[in-house]
Amino acid sequence: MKNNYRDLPPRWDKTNNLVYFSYLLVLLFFIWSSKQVGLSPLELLKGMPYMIRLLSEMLPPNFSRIFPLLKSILETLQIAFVGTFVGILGGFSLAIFAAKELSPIPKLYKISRGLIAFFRTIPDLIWAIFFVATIGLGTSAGTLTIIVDTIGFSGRFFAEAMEEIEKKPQKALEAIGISKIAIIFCAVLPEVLPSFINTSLFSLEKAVRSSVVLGLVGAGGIGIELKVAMEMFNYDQASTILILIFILVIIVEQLSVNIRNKYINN
Amino acid sequence: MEKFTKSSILRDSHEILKVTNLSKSYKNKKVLREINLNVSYGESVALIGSNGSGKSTLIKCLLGLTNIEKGEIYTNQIRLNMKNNNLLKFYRRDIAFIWQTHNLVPRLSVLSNVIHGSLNSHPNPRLWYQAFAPSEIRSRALNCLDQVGLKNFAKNNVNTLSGGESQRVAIARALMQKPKLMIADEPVASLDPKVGIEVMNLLKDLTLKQGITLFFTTHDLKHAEHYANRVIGLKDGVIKINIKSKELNELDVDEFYAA
Ligand SMILES: Nc1ncnc2c1ncn2[C@@H]1O[C@H](COP(=O)(O)OP(=O)(O)O)[C@@H](O)[C@H]1O
Ligand SMILES: [Mg+2]
Repeated sequence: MKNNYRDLPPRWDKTNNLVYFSYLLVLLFFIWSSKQVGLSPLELLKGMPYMIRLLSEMLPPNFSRIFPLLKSILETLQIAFVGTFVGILGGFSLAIFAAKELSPIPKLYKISRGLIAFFRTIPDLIWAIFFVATIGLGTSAGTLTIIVDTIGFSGRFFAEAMEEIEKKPQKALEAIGISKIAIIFCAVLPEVLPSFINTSLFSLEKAVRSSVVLGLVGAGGIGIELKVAMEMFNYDQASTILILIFILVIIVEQLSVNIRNKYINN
Repeated sequence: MEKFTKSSILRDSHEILKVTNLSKSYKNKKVLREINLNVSYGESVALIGSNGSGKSTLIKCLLGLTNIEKGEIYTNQIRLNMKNNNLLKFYRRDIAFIWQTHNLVPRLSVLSNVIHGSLNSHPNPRLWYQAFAPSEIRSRALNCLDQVGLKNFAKNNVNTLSGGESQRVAIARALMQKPKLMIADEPVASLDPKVGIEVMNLLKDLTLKQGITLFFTTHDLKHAEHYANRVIGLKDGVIKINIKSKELNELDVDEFYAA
């Protein structure tokens, strides 16, 4: 067989120099930034003994306060659950107005889009600090944070899902004079349901992880226990808390996988 | 004689549809030119024409689904102002529309889809899903399904239906509306010829029995001949023939095949 290398297509398409220059810039920025943030194997190595000591102090876990801790992790789950539930209802309601062509009041399209984006762009920890500062320490602040965060997260996906579906069934009902609200519930909702379930489950998983962290700023739940345990050097109690958090997250994720398999993958 | 229904009493007194000097363009392209036509109560009218002759556009104009450039549409001698949403709602309530594809709502049951047909005259949230609908409505929907031969499919998911079955469900949904006029745009063009004939027979029989006026488009001349009393031929946006279907002959028809 004869090699005909000359006929081979070029390995790289010709790109202009500006593109190569921007690759170079990105690489330089990475090198500079890693120096700046102190990412070095040496630092990690220097920290090793402390990590090992901390881990050894964490073991074995101390279960003496298991009952108050269980109560507290339940509280975390409740914050996440109530927050997600209300947030999804809010996200869905806003999404109806934020879906192009579907919005019952087109004037509200931009406003609802903006509101959803606003809720989404501000990180949950900042919402938590805001609510703790305004309505005080405790679970209400945490729940409100999850609600706002869920509206921002789910509202966007809900609106996009509603925009992307096949329009013909809606048009068919519109052509016989059926109202917009009715069309949303009887033609749009059934079509987007799988995507809604999916988004809602992701929201719940996200909310469970957030509500653990929110406790750190005093917005209720297990987070505050973890903070106190770490600050009092009760590392064996901290490890119990971490185990509980781990179990909670695993249970919620597994549940979410099961529901997904049942309703979506068939 | 046929049974007397509410619509057949009105027969001869008014035209259910009257179109005068209707013109329509998309961008710079003239699609309909000075269309004039009448449809009387109880008639079955076929609109024939090759692809792109403007059949679907004419139907969209009739239903107010696209804006009209020039001309008027009357129903029962009332001029339709398509910008008057209230009037449009009442007008559409009496017209059932069968599309080329069924356009049922996926993932819902057959029964829910049929019940949707009554939502325009009963704007009741209970009719959104069959599970919440009053028994009287559910039973009427089941009766409509029975008329299209799909009584046993009530609880099936519409995604599991064949093309012909879906189109029958769409007909059942149309009957649920208790329409005075049924408009169908190439209702069987996407079905096998054999299934298509079954569906056309069903449309013809049900509309005749219930005194519903039928207006359908087709590019199958046999269908026009069999299922209509009158045939209107559209070519390049102009009505070229408007005759009794019995009078159709090869001569009239040739030009509607020309590409
Ligand atoms: N929404 C539209 N925008 C632009 N042109 C269109 C549109 N709909 C239809 N047309 C054009 O109008 C003409 C008539 O189309 P149509 O009414 O669908 O014909 P038919 O249903 O008889 O096949 C065609 O040339 C088509 O390309
Ligand atoms: Mg067409």
